[in-house]
Amino acid sequence: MPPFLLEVKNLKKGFPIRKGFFSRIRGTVQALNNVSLNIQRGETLGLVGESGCGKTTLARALLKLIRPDSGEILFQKTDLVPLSSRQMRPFRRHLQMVFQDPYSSLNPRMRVGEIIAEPLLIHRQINRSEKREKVAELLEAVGLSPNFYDQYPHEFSGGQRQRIGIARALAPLPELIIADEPVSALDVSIGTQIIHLLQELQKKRHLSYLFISHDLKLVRMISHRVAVMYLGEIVESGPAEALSHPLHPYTQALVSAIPIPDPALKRKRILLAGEVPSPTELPSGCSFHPRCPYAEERCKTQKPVVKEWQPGRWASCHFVDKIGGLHE
Amino acid sequence: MEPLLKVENLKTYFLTSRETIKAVDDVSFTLNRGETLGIVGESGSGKSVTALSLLRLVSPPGKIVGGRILFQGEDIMTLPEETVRQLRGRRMAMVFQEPMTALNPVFTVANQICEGVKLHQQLSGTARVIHPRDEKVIELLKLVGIPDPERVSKSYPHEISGGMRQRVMIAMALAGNPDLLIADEPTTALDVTIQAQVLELLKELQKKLKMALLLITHDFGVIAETVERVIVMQQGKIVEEATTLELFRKPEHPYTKKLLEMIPRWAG
Repeated sequence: MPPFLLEVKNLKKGFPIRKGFFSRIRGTVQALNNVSLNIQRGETLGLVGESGCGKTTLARALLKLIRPDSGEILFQKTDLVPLSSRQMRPFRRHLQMVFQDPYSSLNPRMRVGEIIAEPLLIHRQINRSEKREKVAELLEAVGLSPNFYDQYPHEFSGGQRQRIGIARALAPLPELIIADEPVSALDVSIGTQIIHLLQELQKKRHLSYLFISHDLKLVRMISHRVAVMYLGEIVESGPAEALSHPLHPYTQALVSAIPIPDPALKRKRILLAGEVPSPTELPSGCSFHPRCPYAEERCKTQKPVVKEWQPGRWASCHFVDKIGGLHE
Repeated sequence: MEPLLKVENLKTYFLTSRETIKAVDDVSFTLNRGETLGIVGESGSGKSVTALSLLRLVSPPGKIVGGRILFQGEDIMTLPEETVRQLRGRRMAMVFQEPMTALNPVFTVANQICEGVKLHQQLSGTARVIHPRDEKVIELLKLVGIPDPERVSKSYPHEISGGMRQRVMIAMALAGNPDLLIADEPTTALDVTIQAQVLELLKELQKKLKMALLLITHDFGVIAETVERVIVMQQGKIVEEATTLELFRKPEHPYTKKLLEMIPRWAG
């Protein structure tokens, strides 16, 4: 197997909660709890989970926009975690990000051309005279007219802005693009176009994506492999197709909660009891046990370990056998 | 039987000095007692403005410029404002998309539920005024499946989760025993597992209380699982109307076909 482009091992990040007059630390929000994952060249890894599960924290930690507490982020075998921000700089051009909100992620006072050229100038990949030509190329690559160079972000629609954001991410010729909910602010038809654009760019440029979304349908459509996150942990990962017969009860509940656009279909829904517990007070044992329909005494005390149940399919649950995903 | 709601050639325009935007342009439909109807469309198609028009809540520069809205035989367009206020919340109520912005942050849940009821009692001259500590409040919170209703009734909106807020919104809407519940993207701001809970709740309450439900959404999945009949809107106009089964089995209009094709399929 070829080496991984990105390999994350046991990444942890907690945020202290400060309270009172002296801002004493009164607890921690454990946002990332031993997260391990890997991405190969040209591959899309989808990351799904509900709000507050730590998806965005993970994205930010991978780019070292926040400093992880412990763990390793191996990018082409170099560990990024101990690097200073100066040492990080040469790696930044390889790791780019597309943000969720195309309205707040573009500087309203910069022209489109300047926005797209900025990363190129920072990384000294072009000089000023080549700017226009290079930007025109990038605008065309994302399906926009090269004439947009001198316009401002407010002149564009949400979908067009997201294309500008993608052009900016593409500019320094990255290896990996982290897309954090890139279409959730857009209408379905516009979102679909952006997904097609991302897929086309991946083929042409052999890009890898970490595609973060709360939308399982979307993640399954675009990803080669999928990782499911719950309360700062990856509870299941495997090939995208395998999601239709999950190994972990949380994945199973997520899948069954999706409204299916087929009124003739009658199915049994697994309604989870209650809501996601607060990450400040993680439940004992398996953190999913208070909502899990399969939970037994053991789950309250003993934390399940992540195991590979079938080649490439990992899950952390004591009762994977009962869930039925293995036998389908 | 006379329909509960009959909308005829409704036109709601936004009149600015430069142009006129036809947000709702000649829309007609009916809704029977106890029936569930969905309006589906992309953003800007006029779904929400249609809903607001029904309650006569469109604010300037928006204006209802034509058509009739017959609710239980009365034309809402010709009623005096005072009468429409009595109608709102009592006979037709609305649940909004954003449970955080739709609730008042400085009132407790109990106070908020009471406020609506109080207002109606004043308007209709009923002497008995509901108190925040009243059984009725707890009953309503129980009805919408809130665990520990005593504690939640004393909480402020920021102290409870998004799913709980949406349940509180539904409780507020149900306080006046409405005949028609309008829900505008009630689950769009919620996570899938919570969305599933809230949709189940809406369906269950609709059956139990025999209300008519008008559900506005952009999500065909939500439509398929919740309503019996659907209206598809595009640019202020109704392009297709059918029962939910028919619409999914054989969509007629090219726009509906296009929308249905774009749904990422989930072979579950």
